[in-house]
Amino acid sequence: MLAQASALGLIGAAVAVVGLARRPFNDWVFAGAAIAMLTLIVQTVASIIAPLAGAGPTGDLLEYWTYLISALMIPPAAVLWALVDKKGEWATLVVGVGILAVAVMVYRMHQIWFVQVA
Amino acid sequence: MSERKHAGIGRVLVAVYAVLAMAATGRSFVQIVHRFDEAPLAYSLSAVAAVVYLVATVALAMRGDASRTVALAAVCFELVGVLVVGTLSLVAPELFAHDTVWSRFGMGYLFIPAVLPFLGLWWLRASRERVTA
Repeated sequence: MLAQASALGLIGAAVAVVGLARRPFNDWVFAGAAIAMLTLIVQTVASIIAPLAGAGPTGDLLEYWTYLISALMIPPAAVLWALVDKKGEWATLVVGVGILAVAVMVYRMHQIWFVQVA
Repeated sequence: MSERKHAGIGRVLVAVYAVLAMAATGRSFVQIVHRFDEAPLAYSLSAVAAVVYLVATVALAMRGDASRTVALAAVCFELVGVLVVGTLSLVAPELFAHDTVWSRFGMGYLFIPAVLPFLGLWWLRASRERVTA
């Protein structure tokens, strides 16, 4: 999960920088959001299976799932919000902000699952 | 020209407010479900903050004078909140046994809650339509 957070952090930062440069929304930006969504889906599946196999979280399960469900909503919402304004200058930054937010949330989820004691 | 000035930046602002609103709501939800009796003031504050952020997000996204007034009210409330709670959390920490979004000026959220209201106020001011006679 740490690797996931770091990777998403890098992707998010890259998209944000591009966004600050006001390059228009393109396939690469969409790919960044898609990758974020994909890692979250994998994470969701793993989060369901792992406790069944005995490797449950050390931290608070409700908090973890609140984070995860919120995180899952971000990439689609960010892309939608950006696409509505596709020709706009700032659409890319919207997605960048979204990916960075997901990266932070994944890092927090890592803490809740592996570090924090409920 | 009917386009609001700075419409693009406004969208980024709404995005950041939306993320913060979601973070505050999620945190508030978990806190209240779990441990309300442990720190009722702090958790009620988190819930109020969540509502204010939600209102600000929607109001900033909408057009029209009414929504801009609501947005201004929400952003001002947020600004006062983060300053008051931030100061109190440093001066009288026993009031806040647990963290809120605004504790220590939003330190737990990279100080974004402290900076955002200023951005919001700036944007509301900058994007006013000039009415030509």
